[in-house]
Amino acid sequence: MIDWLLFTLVTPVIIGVMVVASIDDPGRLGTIGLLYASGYAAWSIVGAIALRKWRLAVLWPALLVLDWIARVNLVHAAIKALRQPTAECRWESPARYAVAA
Amino acid sequence: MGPVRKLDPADNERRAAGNAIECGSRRRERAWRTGACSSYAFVIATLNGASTIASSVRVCSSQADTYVVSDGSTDDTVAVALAAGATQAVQLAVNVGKSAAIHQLVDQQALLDRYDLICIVDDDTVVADDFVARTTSAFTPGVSAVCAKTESDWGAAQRWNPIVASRAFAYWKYQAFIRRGQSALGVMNCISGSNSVYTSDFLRSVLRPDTPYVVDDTYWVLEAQRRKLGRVVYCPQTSAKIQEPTTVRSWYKQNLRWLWGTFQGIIATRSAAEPRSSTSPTSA
Repeated sequence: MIDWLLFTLVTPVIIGVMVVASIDDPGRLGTIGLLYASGYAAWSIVGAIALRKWRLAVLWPALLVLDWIARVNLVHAAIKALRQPTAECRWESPARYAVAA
Repeated sequence: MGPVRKLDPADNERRAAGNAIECGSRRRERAWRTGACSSYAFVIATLNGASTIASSVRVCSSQADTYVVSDGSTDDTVAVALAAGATQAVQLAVNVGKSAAIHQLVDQQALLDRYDLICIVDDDTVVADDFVARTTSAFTPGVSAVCAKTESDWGAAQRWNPIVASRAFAYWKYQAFIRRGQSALGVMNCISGSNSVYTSDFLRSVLRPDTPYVVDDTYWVLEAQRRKLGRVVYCPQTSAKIQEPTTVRSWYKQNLRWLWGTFQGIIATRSAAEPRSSTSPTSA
């Protein structure tokens, strides 16, 4: 539970605090954005090296966006579980490559 | 239940009998430690998986007995699975749901009595060549489930797909920085349902046709923790490749289902009561 909470909240809280503190300073806001993007790009490069998949380094902007959607996803799932704490296991596999291609 | 077709019944029975003799309970601990135990079976539940199941079955059946249950598929899943080397492939006449299909297969074939270790894989999962040997050796005394490393099947056709890239990245982060630590501390709260191995004793305690969470493996791993049914460990020495969603919509939907199941488990675990199945139909 803690790992999910940390993933979901830490980055938004830190960025939120920094943005609020710098709300009147566009230059500083730009720097915060640049630092965040650079940090994510660097993190993607580490992943690209570890996985030996150089495309990860190129796709970092998409990964960043999906990371934020994943946080929304997590909150959505928590709400869904509160509303439906039990549900039958179901078949819901995404389309297979062979079919999707 | 529909007809059961066997590739080679006599051979299968000989292998099963041999397994039972080789890996009796007195020898189990030593056999697991040395990786010499061959009482190991794969179970693959599938629904219209004819396009992917051959590659899954081929690599599984080269390492251990492989059983397939087709949950009311309308394609030729069963024939494809048998042709690829499945020990047995069972066609259910009607769709009963994944948990119930696995339960029916395991029950009908008495797999929990015939095998010490059972690996439940998805019909798009391709395990590594050393999967059985590596995961078997991870079953030290007290371990009830072993989860191998999950890798995204990031092939040429998906090479610029950001969703597949995102999953590959997420798996790497999670497995390198969270799962290893959780495994070392004995607090794993998430396994890969597509490529995890369980002891028969453990499955006897948790396998049910009406899994109360939307994801069956989430129920199993959280029950292991809640009821103290044994340790769940991560085995990064071997891996399995799985297919990923290729659109934002399908990715979001799959994530939602997985996380929904996780939160269902958290809620049930906190209440410390045996979770009961939902009686009302649900929609994602």
